[in-house]
Amino acid sequence: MFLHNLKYELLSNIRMKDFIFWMMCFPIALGTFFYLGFGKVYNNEIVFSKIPVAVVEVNEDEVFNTTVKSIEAEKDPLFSFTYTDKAEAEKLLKEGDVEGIITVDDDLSLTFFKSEIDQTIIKSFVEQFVSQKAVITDIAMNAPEKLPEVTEKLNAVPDAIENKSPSGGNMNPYDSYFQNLLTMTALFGMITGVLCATRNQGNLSAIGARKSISPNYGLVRLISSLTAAFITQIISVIAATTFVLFILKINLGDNIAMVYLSGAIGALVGISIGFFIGAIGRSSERTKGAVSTTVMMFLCFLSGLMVGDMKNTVEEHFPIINRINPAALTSNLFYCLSLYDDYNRYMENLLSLMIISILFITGGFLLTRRKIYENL
Amino acid sequence: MKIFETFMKIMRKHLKLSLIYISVFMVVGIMMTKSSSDSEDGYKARRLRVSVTDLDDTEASRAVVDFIAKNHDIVKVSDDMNKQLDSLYYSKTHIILTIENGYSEKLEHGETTGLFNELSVPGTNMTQLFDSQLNRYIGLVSATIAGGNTPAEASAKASEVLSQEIETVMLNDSGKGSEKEDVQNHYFLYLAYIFISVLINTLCQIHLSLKNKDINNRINCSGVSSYSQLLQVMLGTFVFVIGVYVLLIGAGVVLFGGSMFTEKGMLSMLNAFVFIIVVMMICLFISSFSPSMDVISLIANVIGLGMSFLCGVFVPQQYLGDVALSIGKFLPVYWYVKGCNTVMEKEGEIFSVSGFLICIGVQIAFAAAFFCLTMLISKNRRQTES
Repeated sequence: MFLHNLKYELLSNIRMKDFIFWMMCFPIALGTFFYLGFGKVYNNEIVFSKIPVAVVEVNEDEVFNTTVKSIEAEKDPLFSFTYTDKAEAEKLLKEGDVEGIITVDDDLSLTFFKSEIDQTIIKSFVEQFVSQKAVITDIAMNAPEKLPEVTEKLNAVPDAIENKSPSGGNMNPYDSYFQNLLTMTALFGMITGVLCATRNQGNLSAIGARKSISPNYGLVRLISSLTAAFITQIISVIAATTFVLFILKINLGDNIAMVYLSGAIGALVGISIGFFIGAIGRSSERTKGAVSTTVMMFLCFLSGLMVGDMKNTVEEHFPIINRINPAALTSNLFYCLSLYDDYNRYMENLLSLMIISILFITGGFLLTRRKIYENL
Repeated sequence: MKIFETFMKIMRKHLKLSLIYISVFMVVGIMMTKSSSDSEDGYKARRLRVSVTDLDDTEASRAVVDFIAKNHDIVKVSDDMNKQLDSLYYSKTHIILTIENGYSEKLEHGETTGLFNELSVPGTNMTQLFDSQLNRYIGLVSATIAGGNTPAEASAKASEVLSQEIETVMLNDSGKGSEKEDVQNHYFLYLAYIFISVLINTLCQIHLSLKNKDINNRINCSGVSSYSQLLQVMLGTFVFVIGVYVLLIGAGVVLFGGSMFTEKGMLSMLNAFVFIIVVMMICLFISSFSPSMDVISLIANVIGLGMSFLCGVFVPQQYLGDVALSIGKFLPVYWYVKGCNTVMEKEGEIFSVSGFLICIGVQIAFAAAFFCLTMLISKNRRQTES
């Protein structure tokens, strides 16, 4: 009986063509928007690249010119300098061709158009240059015999810092949007979960009424309905994950099988919550569907679908929310796979999601069991 | 006015979801406003969040901590490696620095290698800024030591010479403005997403309900002329749209007070008004295809989130790739966002009346285009049906 029910539940799900189309289409469309929107932001804005600077010489400063030449001769120079007049420099600055203007007069001064990290790097360079000049002047006055040694130290590039990379994983914070996209796709299961509940309750849908009068055992009917919803949802998750991994080529870690498994767990938790929402009260299928969509979007907002670091902000102020928010827990699965070398935290999140699923499915069963209708 | 009354009746049924969206938006808006300040500054050096552990704990090492604290914000990070990783990933900490034992002693002997141990994301702007600052500081300190000073004296001298102010001017007022202004700008930017979500989710559902076969037949067999029908539906639509606009702008007035009635505030409100009209036209356009009620929320999400991400609502336009911007220019949200940024002079935009009018004009053109398309599709459908 279970397999018979499952077959027809699957057929019924697949025949909701426009619903299935949007379910599949939405993550792919949004993934494409994400990719077009900020697929290259990390490389363009966060990864360091040479900063273009304009130099306007009012008075010639030989020391400054020597420093400029020595920087340009470096293997990976910090800056590329363009010597020009004030009007041209301002034009370049306004058009974004240079990040700042260094004006060489009796003193050095700076002109910027915006206050971002490149401007801070330029300012820091000028401050250091002025400081070095001050040190040389001071030593030349007080201990001229030590001037060659001091100049040598100032010209040497110190190697004071030993850098350690925090992880072999993907440190691109913008990829968290894709992790949250897959989370949202999985949690769309909430909508299918609602359908499972309402289409098995005689007072909420015609198909529910038809099922209620059939000689089918209620529990088997519900389990087959939930299984069919899970299979339908899995197809949508597989499509979205494959698109993100192989078309957009987003790095979600090396363990591809676990990435798909994470999506499946997310789908399960989505369906269980949807099933629970669908089982509460006597509101119409549409109202319950709208409530589940809104709840899902809000949970996804808290896990960082719209604002990338929202999950971490929540972690700082209300960490308990991240422990119980299924969207945060699911996106954490993808996050752990792409960043961590071990699976400890992954397993913690997985366990929490399993507990949430069991709780909601049990709740849903308790709310839908033993319903008898006097009339329909 | 029976059709108008029916419109209102259906609207009340579909209002729940809109109210949830609006309430969530207002809560987020209130949280953002509460956490912002009124401080104002022209050029602002970018300060990184740096965690420092001083294992040497000498006068010289404390001086380097002071130097870092002067330029950056010192934050505390847990010793747990996973938490450090989370912190770096979400940029809650940019640099985790350890001043190694023997820092002062090494400097005294002229050694400058391996004084610090740093955990950071390699190759980023932030790491580059910090490393270059610290290396140059060490260069200055070691040069001053070579000039005959002790590490402590050298550190003090280095800090002193580094505290000289460099004259910095901003080419215009771009980037200037209080944090409250930033929040106000964000409020108007996020309105784009809320307008789209609320209007498509509610207005399309109302229009589709009115197109329901039974209701439609009942209206058609009544004595109400088709002109009057159209007027009543349009009136209902306008009442709903104006209601949403007044509610959300009213919330803005509560949050930002008098700054909503400054020149910038008024222009932002005008921009938002034109935009909500565009969204209304988009809703009519979608409804003309008579999609199934079940997929309306999905369509709202695709259009709302899609346009918001592509056009700079969630991610600033200046960070978007060229392809995204090229596509965005063909979408109304891009011009709305550009209008907001032009008014507030954010993201490198400079205010000019002509620039602002172009943004408004393009949005009106979009509204007109959607209106014409809706008329065309509706006419075709009517002809096909008859």
